[in-house]
Amino acid sequence: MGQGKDIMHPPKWANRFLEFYCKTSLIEEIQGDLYELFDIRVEAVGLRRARLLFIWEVFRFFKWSNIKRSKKVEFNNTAMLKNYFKVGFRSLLKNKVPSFINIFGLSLAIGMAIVVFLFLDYQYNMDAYHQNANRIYNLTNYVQKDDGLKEWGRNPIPLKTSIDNELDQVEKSARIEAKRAIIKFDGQVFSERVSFVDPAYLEIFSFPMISGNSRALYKDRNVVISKRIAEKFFGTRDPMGEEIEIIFRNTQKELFTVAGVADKAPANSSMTIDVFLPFHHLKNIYDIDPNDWSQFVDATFVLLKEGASFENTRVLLNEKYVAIQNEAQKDWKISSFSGYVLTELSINNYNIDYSISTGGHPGGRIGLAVIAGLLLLLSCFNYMNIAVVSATNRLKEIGLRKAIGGNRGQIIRQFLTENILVCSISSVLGFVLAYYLLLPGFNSALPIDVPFEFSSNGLMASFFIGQLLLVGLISGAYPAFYISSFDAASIFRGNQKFGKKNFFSKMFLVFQFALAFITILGGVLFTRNSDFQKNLDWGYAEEQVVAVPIEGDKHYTALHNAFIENSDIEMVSGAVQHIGESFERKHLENDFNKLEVASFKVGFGYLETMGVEVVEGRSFDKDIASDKLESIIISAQLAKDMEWDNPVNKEVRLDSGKYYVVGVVPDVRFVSFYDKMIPMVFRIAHDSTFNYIAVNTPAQKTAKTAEFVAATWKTVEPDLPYNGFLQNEVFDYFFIEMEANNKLMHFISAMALILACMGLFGLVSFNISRKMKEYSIRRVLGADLTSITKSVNNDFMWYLIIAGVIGAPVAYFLMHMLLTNIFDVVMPMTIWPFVISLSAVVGTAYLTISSQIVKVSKNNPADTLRSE
Amino acid sequence: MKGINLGEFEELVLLTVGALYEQAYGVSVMEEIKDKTNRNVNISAVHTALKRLEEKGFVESRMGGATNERGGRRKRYFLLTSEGKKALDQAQEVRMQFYNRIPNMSFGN
Repeated sequence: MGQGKDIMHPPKWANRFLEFYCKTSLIEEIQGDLYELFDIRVEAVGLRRARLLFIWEVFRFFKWSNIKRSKKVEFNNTAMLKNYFKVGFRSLLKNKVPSFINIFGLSLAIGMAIVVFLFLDYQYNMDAYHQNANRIYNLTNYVQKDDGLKEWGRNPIPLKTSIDNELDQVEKSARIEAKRAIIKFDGQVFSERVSFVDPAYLEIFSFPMISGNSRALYKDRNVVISKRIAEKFFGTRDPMGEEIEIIFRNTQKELFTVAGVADKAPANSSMTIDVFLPFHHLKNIYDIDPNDWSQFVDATFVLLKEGASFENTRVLLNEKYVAIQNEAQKDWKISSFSGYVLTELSINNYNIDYSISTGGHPGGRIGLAVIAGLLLLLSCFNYMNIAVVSATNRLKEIGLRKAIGGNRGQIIRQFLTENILVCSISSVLGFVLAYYLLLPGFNSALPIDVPFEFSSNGLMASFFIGQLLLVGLISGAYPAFYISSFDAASIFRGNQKFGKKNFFSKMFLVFQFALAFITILGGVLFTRNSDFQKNLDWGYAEEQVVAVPIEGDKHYTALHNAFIENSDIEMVSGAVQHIGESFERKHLENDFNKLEVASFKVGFGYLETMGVEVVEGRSFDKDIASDKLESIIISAQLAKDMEWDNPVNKEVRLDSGKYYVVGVVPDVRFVSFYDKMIPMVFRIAHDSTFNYIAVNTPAQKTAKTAEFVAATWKTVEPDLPYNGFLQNEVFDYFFIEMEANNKLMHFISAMALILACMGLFGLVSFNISRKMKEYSIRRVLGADLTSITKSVNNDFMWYLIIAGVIGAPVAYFLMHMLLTNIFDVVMPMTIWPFVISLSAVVGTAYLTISSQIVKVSKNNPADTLRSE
Repeated sequence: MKGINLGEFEELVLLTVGALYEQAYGVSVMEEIKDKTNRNVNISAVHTALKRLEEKGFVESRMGGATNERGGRRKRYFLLTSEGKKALDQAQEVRMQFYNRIPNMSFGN
């Protein structure tokens, strides 16, 4: 029977399966009962059936309540967590320098990320504060022209009326048309932007109002003004009910009553209120027929009924109105209507020509997001590198933890906890940095004003949690898994091969420095290009000219006569189109060529007043009668494009008239440096058509002359504001913008360099402290500091060189693409920017390393070698 | 009250635990039920019922000593608690109330 008993076991695999899945607290009774039943059944029904039944029962017991949930024995998790924090905090305090590098680097990067996020959040929530924002649509249309299909914000005037009458799904609609006009109140005269809007405009949008309500414009002579205008004209007085005079086209005077004051719009407004008048005045003041489908207004908005679809509306618009418009205006045919919901108007604004909204090209947004991401990545790499290398100092701790029963998961958790500690501190610091330093800096560098607020609390919470998790995991995961993989026994035996061939950390270092090199080179190239643009010759004597916009028939003679009396003023002349301010785009042709040119109609002596030299032929001459009719002066570029060796007396056709070239002038900067220059032509115009008067004065007297010009204006035209300017300021907007971009570039370059150097510093300092014995022995054996420096540098200089080799072509390629995209004329590339940035990178890296070598030199070899 | 109600099978198991007194564990309960009612009961169903009864507080359990049988595994013995007894009494009472109201007439025998 003894043998038989052996055979009479239940099937082993079923038994093992039971032991595998069954909860330890239940295994006793379940397995016991099954064995007992098995024994009974062997007697009763035989071995085979008993075994089958046993298997059956094992499966019957395989249910949720009996299955082990977790293999692990319960640890005292909270206590361990407390221990992790304590140990983490101690190691932070113990390794002050690397902790500082980690925390400072991360908080800088997180601060940048916060700012960029705020900026994006702000941009993507433009105009969202309007109550009906998701039902308001800005209508646009597509027009096919020679240079392709373009989207326009301007729509035919009657569109709104037709929509109101014919489209059921539109609840309300309104147009806006902005003009410049002069506002007069109580002796104060200012030129302001005034907008003609349909009364429903204020009802469709929810602009915050200080006084008056959204129905204010339904009364004929009412006007709604912004807080800024109110303070400008009325100071602290209540403007409600006051009557102001608005002068249109410098002549037509109309009286309006202030019926509402709009509060300063929230920061995320892409459209604001200036001076709002009822729309119907446009008809009598500007003589515009509201039923004319060939006349356009700045913008048309519709408020859809609740639940109505815009797609449907768009189809109807195309069906009903495209044909009507095409019939009315044959040379400007709309091919289809489209539109944007208000909340998406600003981010799509770059698509639309003549949009009422504001909002830049998405390139800037994408660029900023990429830069913020890269900086975050850089500081994460720093953390990774330092954490991995610093683990050398903690090998014994890890070994001990493992030896007394800590498993790998726990070590991973320990390092992640430490990492989250660092990340939390950095997040708080980053928040503080962003609030007090980075965002104000960002706002002052760029012409925008991003408020420090998130569009919703949920978004803020998810941003911070997401950021913490992302940074924590990216920077913490690799070190945690790497460090926890060490084997306790080999740590204590002392043969843990470690850190010697860490491919990752070297790759990170190269990557970091390549990035730093690229951004620095980008910064240097950008700055040098800015200087180059600043020093570009404008081609005329812009330093000597003061100009004033005028109306020729009214002001020219009086001003001219007054100006020539002044001995400081050497020449006076006028122009219809003024260099740097305006030009007319025309097509000029002869029998062989047709060219696009910028046409300027000017007075006699204009070229001389502006200091434009005539290099070939002659200038316009008052005494030659034909000059008024058929003489033309061209720019050198035109002669070149026409392939004329001897341009004088050549015949061209322009405006269906014939002209003969009398002179050639050099190319003159008449558009900003962003725009492409086209050939120029000058023709003579009559005094009464002038829009500008220009005076020439010695460069050192421009300020004094400008005062005199302004004073003379007041006596000649007391009713209109003085808008004169110094000629060398006409491109100031360009230089201001360029300066802002410069600042931003410098800041980003500096950040990248700081982060990369901090990473290097951390690596070097750890390497040195690990090799302190080696250096001590070298010194004892007579090595001097230079040779030690060499041995330290050798390691790192190679990485720098590789980084430079990778970075230089990338940077060159990127910057060349960027600059040629932005500017008309780009500086010639030289080797110097590369040399400068490479030496900046290598120099700071060298300084970083040297600061660590000082540590070696101060250390007494005996101290290091005595221990052990 | 839902958790305290006794299902038919639970009541049967509870009664068996009461009847077996001190000798009630999975297999014995199952065998007893099989013997007395001729129902083919599954051991895992008995375990589940016992566990539920214990959660409801109608039985309590203790581990028995190790033996050579059962692959060396110990038995978990179940004992009726006073609450379990009360629940049985109550069930019995309800049953008797209805039973006694059955009119005492001839059932055609």
